[in-house]
Amino acid sequence: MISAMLIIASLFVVLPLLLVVIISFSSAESIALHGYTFLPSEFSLAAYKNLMKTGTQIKNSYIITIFYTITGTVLSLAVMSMFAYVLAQKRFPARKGLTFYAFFTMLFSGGLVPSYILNVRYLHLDDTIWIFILPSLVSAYYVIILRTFIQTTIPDTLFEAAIIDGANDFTIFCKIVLPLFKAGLATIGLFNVVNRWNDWFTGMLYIENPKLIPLQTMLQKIQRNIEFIKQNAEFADTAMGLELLRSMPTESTRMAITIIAVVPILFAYPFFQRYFIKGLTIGSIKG
Amino acid sequence: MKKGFLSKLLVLLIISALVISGCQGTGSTGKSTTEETKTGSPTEAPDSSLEHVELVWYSGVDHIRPDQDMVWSEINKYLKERINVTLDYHFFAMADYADRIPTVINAGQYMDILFMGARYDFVSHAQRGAFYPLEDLIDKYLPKTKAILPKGAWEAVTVDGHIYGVPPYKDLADRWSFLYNKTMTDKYNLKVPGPGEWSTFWDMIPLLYEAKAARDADEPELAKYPIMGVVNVVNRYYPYETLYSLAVANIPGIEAYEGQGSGETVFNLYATKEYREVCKTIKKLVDEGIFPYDAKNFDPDKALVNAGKLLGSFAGGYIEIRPDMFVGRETGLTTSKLVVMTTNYVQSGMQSLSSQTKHPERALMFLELLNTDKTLANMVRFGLEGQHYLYNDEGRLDITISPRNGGVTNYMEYGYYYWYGWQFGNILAGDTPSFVSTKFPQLLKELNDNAIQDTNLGFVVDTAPIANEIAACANVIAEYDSDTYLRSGMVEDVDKAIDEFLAKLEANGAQKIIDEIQRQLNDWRASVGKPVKK
Repeated sequence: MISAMLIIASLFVVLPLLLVVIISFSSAESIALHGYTFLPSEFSLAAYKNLMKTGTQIKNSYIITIFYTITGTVLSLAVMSMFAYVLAQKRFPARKGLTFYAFFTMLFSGGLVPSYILNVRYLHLDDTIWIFILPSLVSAYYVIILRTFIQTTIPDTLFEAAIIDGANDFTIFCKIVLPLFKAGLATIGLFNVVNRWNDWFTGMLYIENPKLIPLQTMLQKIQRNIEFIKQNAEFADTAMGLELLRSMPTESTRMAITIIAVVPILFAYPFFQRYFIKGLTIGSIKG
Repeated sequence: MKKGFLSKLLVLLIISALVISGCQGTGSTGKSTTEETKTGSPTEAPDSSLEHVELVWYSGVDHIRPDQDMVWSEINKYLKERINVTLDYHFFAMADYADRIPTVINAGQYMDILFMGARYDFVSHAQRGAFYPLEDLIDKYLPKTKAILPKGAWEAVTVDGHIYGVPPYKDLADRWSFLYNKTMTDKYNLKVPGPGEWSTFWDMIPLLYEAKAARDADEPELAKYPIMGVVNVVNRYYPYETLYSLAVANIPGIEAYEGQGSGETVFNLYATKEYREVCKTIKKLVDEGIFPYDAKNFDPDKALVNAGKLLGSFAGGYIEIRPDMFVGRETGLTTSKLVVMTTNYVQSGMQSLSSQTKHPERALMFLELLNTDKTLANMVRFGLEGQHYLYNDEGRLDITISPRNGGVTNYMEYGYYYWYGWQFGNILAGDTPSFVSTKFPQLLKELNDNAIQDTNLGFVVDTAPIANEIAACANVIAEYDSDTYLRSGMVEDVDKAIDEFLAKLEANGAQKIIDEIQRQLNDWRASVGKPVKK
């Protein structure tokens, strides 16, 4: 009974993805004539061939997105876990103040236009790779999760014992906290990877240089340019609009890009998964 | 083992963080030094009275071309020679531009020139003081441009008495155009009304039925497909002038809406019997298989269009077309006798100066040059001679025989080509390309000069007193008057839906909007000496 329900639930998740895969392999005529089906009348590799033809932009975006994701996640985990460690130490006097400082930003954020002004006019982060890494380096929410994780899974007595043994904070962090902390890091790391991989808005707002455009932004741009031309009747009406519409990527090409964008993240899950299970079984005080 | 790995990873992280922050420092200083050299470089001005200025230009283009930087660095060299100006250009594809420009304006980003249009909320940005008023500078810095553009075009970009934009010279008036599959109409012996022999979409409907009958008889398996994509723009059936939201007015000389005056009367478009008739007609055409059901998802890849199985499409603004624009068949164009210049149509694109600009005179000098200088106009629209275009044996500008644009079949793949780009000023300033006839400039002038000018060009509604009603009605309109509901033919009972629609509009203050706009229109018309509604 339960497994039947689970099978149905997983079908809800798997089938749409499967449909996207199938559409990406369908021919344009088959989509026009029969719409989206699981059994297209004609299979075609045209979409993927088209993608290969568009050449360097996709490859560039792919590489740059992987770079943003990995660098961003690694740096962000390093900064946030150290911050969380400090906040978890009862003997640290500014603990409450700093926690509130982080917490406050969760309640009141700057909003779009002020952050744009700050990032562009004062920090000059626009059109650089740093816009993907620095502003999103620390998330107050994740810091508080990590802090709570340290507080609840690692007893203070363990820290005291280490201090008596002559360890400084850095040693404690590296030798005691990090090994016990993998499940927490893996969770936040996964969130980070997924968020960074899927972030299209930053690229849309701040990036002009085509070499720096991430994959999701590129996908979004293709989609929005098609929508824009379709919706703006005046524009689609003109000679230019019609020519543009005619040469827009086909439905199956867009699905093929989606597949390409989804695949790496599918592989990220199993990598993190092993830490989740370990996190459940591991503990700092045995017996 | 694991412990060792993680601590090593951490050390690596810290080192890389240090290295990266170091890089960041050098990176930013590197950037600022290049900026210094850019602005501080000695200027070799031909005219010593003009110091070198770099203008920041934000603009939308239909598609980013791969050779953009190559062409624009040459353009910058040329501009430096002529008016000692270089451009720091920021070009975006249209949809990206629409996403970005409101934030950029609101954030107070420094700009000199920016592309504007009705779809980027030109009027509300103008009312909030985002643009530099041009009326005092035009005579001095844009004398030739002023002479090129019809008077109505300047009126249409005037907001509260100030001119806030320089419209391009292109088709400045809306002329209904029908692009049809000439191979198909010849094959089935269909008679398409010729140019000037028809006025609105109503005149085309009989042809659609004939075409569908003929095609389906010839190819019965196509019977389940429509003969053309949906035409659901009310304007194409009964032309009107939009004043704001649901408030519209008749166009003088056409008066499509019975008993609603001739431009001086404001009325609710959705409450007219003509609107009801249009919705019913769309439904009838969908039911009878002329238009597709669920038009939004019909033929998303244009497979049926490209295969030449449809009759054609209804559009606006065409002057000439390439008969070979679709591969494998001949395409024909017929245009209506109605040509209307409306505020919206003119406002579809223009270059404005940002209110922040420190160099309004120089920016206008550049725009004047863009509108009048043949060398510049050719570079901007066609790229570099010898690379992106050549002159053919007849002396016409030809992109198809050039090394970088030749042999391209897909519009997106040109190295550099923006001929009909309305961001770039006067389309007649440069050469016309070889695929249009030599009569093109003449035809364009005729179109603009013969246009009926709607009498409220330049009238702008002050929405402050009715902001709440407008917002409330906008939601109702989005729900009912959408291309997935009333104007899609996918509605069971048109009368019932429209009655419901009108009742909701009424409950949300539609009448107050009409009354207020009528009052403002009366004041405005009295102030410019036009007849006012009694």
